Amino acid sequence: MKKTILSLLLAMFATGTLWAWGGQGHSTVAYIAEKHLTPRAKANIESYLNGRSIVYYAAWMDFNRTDPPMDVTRDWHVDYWTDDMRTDANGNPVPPYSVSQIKRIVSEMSDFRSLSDSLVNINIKFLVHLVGDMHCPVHIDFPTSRPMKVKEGKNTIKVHKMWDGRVLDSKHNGLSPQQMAIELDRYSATEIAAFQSGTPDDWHIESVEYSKRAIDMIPANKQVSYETYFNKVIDIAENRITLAGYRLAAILNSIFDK
Amino acid sequence: MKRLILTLIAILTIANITECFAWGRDGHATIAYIAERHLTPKAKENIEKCIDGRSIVYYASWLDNHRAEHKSWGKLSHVCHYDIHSFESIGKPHKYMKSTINKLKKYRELTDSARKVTIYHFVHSFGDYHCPGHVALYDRTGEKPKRIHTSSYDFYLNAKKSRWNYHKLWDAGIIQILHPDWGYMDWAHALDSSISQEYIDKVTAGTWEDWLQDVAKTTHTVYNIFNRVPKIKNAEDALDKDLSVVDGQMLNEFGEYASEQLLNAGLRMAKIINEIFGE
Amino acid sequence: MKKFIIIIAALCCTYNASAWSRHIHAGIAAIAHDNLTEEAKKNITELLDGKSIIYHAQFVYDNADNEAYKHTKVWKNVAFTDKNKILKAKKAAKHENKDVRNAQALEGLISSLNALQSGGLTKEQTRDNMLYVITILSDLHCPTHYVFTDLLEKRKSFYYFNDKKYSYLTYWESNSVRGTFNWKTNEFVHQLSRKTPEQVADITNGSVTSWIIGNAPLYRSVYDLLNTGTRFDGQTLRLWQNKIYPISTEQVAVAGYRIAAILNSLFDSNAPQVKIK
Repeated sequence: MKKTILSLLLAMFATGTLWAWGGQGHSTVAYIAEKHLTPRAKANIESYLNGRSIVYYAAWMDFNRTDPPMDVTRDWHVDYWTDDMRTDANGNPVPPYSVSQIKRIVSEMSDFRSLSDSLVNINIKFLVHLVGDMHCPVHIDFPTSRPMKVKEGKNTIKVHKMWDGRVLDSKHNGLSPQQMAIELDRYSATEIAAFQSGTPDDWHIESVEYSKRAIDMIPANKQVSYETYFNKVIDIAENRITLAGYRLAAILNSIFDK
Repeated sequence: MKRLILTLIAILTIANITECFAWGRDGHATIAYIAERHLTPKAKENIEKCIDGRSIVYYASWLDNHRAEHKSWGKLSHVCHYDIHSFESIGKPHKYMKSTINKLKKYRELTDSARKVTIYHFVHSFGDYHCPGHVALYDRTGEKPKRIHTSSYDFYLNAKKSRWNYHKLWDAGIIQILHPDWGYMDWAHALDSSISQEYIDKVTAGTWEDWLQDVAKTTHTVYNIFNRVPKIKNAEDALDKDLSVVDGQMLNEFGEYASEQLLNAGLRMAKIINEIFGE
Repeated sequence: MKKFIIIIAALCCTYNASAWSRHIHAGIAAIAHDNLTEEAKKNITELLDGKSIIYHAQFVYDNADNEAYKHTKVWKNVAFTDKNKILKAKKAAKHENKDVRNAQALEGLISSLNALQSGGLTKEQTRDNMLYVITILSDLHCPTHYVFTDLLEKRKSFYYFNDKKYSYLTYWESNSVRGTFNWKTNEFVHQLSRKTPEQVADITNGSVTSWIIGNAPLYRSVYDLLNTGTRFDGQTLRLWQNKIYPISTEQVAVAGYRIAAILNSLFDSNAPQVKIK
């Protein structure tokens, strides 16, 4: 019953399929990042967004998946696990998707003023979303977890589906994303600097660890209770969202604070 | 968990049972809140004094909620009529808006309750008039003027082909569909983060009649989004009409259009309130 | 879709737990937070490891199934006699009606407040007791938590909308506000946390117990707002809701200000002291 309702809800609200953090989580990531942008970076970014906030575009990539020109971005939302080197048709290893896209965009944007306005605009939309996605434990796509299903009572559901958008909702349905950001963004400047250090590759490795932890919390018999499971992973979810926010700010500052 | 689901159910139930008009509640609140953010301190203080110290956002949907108690309001025309080619205003041009704004200008002379009600009318209707659902377009090239009926822009939503009507797209709040977890503060923050003075000057130039004409023109572009896709018949639909199938991508285009209208309506509302209450 | 709505309608009728919904709890906590003194805010933030009372507004519900908090299950309602006299916990505990048996919220509130006032608690105990105070005080500004022994039948009141049956108490839980406003957390503050100092003084005047007892006459009248079995259509439902939302939103505001007053009194030694009894 619960499952039917939840899936109906998602079907009603969602135009995309995989939602990672859901609208609330992605908006929260963007709110946190925005608070840590330098004034110059913020002004530069918003001049490319018609004066809108990055929050507006936090889930834009999810909303626009069905747009044919966006077809190429379909796989960008996930990363695979490093131990599971994927290969392309020619047998060459494929780098992780969102991480490699983030790296590509960052280097492309190093001199953003030389790019067309529309390219900068879309790159910002990509970054605000992908940095969130790469921190989402179920967006680390490894062979054992991808097809993994769990059971709650009689219902069977994919692990990815169970997470998507719901973990946060389970506990914080009453909070607006703006308030969530205020609650989560409570670290000292030194701590934030530590979170922001490193490269997207380092963060990816760290993401894999968290992903494993989240998967390990699923009982061996795959029988879960959403409530118990969500209570266990909520700390991970909140932590990943906060870090995604700080790191998004670091990336955007490195590009736009000039 | 149970509580969560029940809360969600409650939200959905209420979304189904309450009547919403034009932008839906969140849209109207967003317009009023964007306006509030652009009020001068003096204008904000003055207008709030007239409405028991509350925010204008509180009254953004008052008219929808209380129209049942005031039958005569139902007869007020909330639709603007325009020629589809010249965008000339036809019929009685915005009589209701005109009288509301005129009353507002003389707010000092009104009784307390008349002043309040005029403000409630203004903060709601001004948003209404920025909604494409409130624009009627006419083709006058033939012998008789022909209304382009919005009902011809009913559509099927997604591949599942649930039938929607044009009005519901705006009424049920396209924006609520896109961001169910955003409130009006989130919307205002997202849309109105660092709007340039240049943009404000551009959209608030001219008179309110010009602004409404501008809305009529853009309504045309909304129709074109529908016209872009071929129409199909759905065997299960009792009415057996050819309708467009709207997909997620088109919903985004409507969302984008709606976002722009909400911002413009808010900025323009602020301009009028500042002019009247700013001194 | 139609089937879905029917399922929802059916669920709404059968579910009969009455409390504010999550959105309203968060809203009340946000109003309270907005009215804390700097000192109280600082102490509470420290107690909650950097988070705010808004984040924890659901604490009691999230822990409803936790064994350690089992004794708090009866801290739900307050019961009153037909003369609006409060029913003592001992008497309520023996009542045949479950809602009356659960009417030990005032005792729970007082025991938490006493524990906080007397001090000597661990950080965790302080936190738990404070969060109980917040939740119980929020709930005790929801009329459905007031059980009048002469009006027990009225707790089963229901109405029809478009021929579907809805419970009145469930309506209060969420839709008494949500039927009119879609406010989220900070928006409750923007809309409702704008009382004048005189109004605040009036709301927070008296002791905690006197607040609770003082609410009784108004909340009793709430039970009279619906003739059970009423059939509404869109318009008549709207007219009915227009009578309810001024009451529900005002109670949300009142709860927020009172919670702020008691928290200030507990966590800021310079703030005016609020008496418990």
